Amino acid sequence: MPEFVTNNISTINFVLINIALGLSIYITLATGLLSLSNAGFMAIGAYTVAIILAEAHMPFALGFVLAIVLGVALAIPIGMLVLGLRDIYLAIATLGFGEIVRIIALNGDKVVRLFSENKDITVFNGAEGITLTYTTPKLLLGLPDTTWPILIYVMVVIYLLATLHNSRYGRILASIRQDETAASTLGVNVVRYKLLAFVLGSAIAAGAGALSAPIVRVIDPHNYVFSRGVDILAYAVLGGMTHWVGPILGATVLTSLPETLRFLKDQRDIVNGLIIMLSIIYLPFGLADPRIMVLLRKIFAFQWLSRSHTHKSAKDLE
Amino acid sequence: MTDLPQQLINGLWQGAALALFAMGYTLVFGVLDIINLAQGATFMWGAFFAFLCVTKLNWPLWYSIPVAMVGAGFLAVLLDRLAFKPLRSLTSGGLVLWAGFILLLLGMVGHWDYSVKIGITLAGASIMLVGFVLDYRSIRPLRIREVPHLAPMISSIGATFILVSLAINEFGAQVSRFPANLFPVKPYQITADAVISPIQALVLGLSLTLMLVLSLLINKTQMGRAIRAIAWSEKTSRLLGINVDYVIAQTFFISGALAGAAGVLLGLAFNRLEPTMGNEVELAGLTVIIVGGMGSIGGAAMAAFLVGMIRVLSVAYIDSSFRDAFVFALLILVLLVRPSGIFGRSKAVRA
Repeated sequence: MPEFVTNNISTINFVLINIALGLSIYITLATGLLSLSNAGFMAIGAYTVAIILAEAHMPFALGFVLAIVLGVALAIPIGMLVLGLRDIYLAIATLGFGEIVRIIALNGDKVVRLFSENKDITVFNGAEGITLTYTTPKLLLGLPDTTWPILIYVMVVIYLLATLHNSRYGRILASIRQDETAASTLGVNVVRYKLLAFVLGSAIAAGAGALSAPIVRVIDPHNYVFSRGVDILAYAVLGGMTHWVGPILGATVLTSLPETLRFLKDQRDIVNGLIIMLSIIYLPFGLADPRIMVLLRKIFAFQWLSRSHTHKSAKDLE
Repeated sequence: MTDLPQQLINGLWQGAALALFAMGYTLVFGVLDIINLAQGATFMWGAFFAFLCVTKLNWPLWYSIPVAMVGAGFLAVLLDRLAFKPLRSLTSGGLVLWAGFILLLLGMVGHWDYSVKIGITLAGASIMLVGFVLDYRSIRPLRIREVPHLAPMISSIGATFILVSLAINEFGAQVSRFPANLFPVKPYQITADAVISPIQALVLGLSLTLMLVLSLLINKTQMGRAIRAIAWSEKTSRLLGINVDYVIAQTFFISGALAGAAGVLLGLAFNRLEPTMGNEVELAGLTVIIVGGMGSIGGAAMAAFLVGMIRVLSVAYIDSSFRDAFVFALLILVLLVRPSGIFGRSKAVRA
């Protein structure tokens, strides 16, 4: 087992980061919002850490905290601006936000130089991006010390979403997905809860981006283009959007599949596209189909797996 | 600012090509209420169809453009059958079509011997043909579905990925160019300091002609009446005896042909074809149809000229790398202030 882990440590790292990203889009999808800004928030997190590490020479922990704070601080005004929009319009507006983040990362230096004394200053370093120096990770209880923070982060996020899923908040978010008008007539402040979901999703994405920075080491705008956002969407679509187990399954399958089936590696985009299309057409509830979850619950008495509204969600999607 | 007339001309012909693209986009939205994000990929394939005709078959350009349009039109119809039709109703023919499509992809991208590759590809294509006919002839679908509103959009994102990677497989990720002597390059003098090259004049002329043809097609013909009827209410049209499935296919054909024409024209004008060329125009097109009001063809045409001007002027007077930032700023501004679009009729789209 330890040998398997050390041999495949980069795959495991990426699976964990992608699980966090899948969960970040899940929380907005579970509220009925198609927000495509996750790649943008991921970029914000990664760039924050990269600048803290490479240019300010300060510890990683500070960068991580700063990334999440920045993610929340940006998500609140942006959410307030765009969350009044409905499905397609929201998707397009958030897509625009993601592109603007990328354009800022590409051209940020020009803006910084306008306000700075030093006319040759490089902060974002344009298309080349920021390169972090490589330090050999130390083994800590069988895992490299770069993997531990990611693992703990994913655990915390899963715990948070699982608690949310069965709480009053989780039910309110699901009710907004099922019928926004009905929810608001029952006294739910729809805009406030949508904002809650959006900010939570953005913060999770920013944190995941921050944790990914030391692993990818080269942080350039090309990492965060539209197709990155689509990758993230694919995790949630394949896994299913009605239960938090869905994105975990989806991210694990889609990240490890190209590693296990080597011949698929050059055709990753085709496989991704096929999986998205086939699962939205023939598997609209994803791998974590509520009907399967209900069945599992009956067979194994998995009380914790799906207690509240999974069977209702099935009806809602039908 | 002495080159302002020149920049205005550039904005005009780029806006005209963008209008072609966006009108197809908004037509499909108006009829089916779906955003076909694979329109950018159809645009790119249109350009490559013409490229194939010119370089591989040595056809003259005036002949290649209509062929590329027809090719892109059929591509869009196929896309509807694969990505959107199964979300409206599942048929056994649709399943056969999908099986054939997967076989075709396997044949095209797998590392086979040449003869095996051709065999699998042809087998896939013929199974697809059978599935297509079966799907079209099926009277009673297996299931009529109500899917979440976002499903078609997600499905078309998947289709874009497949189409773009197929193009990368076929033509490589690098930039392809049309042969240099394809078109006269001596520019026409319009005013003292503004010129327009023959190819730009062709873009402008052909775009305006196609816009006129589309408006006649939609407003004056039987087919246009049927399209408008379905946009109004699919159920009522069905009751009135309109062959809804057929008209939807026609709509996709028109939309794809327009996207293909835009692809050929912009590909010729910049002489720069690459598999990712659809992405940029896709985002500009989204801005155009939102600014123009979703589903409004005339609005899209006018908004396209506005966006074309903004893009050209921001490159000329500010900085080329901020071009898309300005387009998106306009997009977000319009979404926030008037989500029904500047030229659109007011329709409540806000929550």
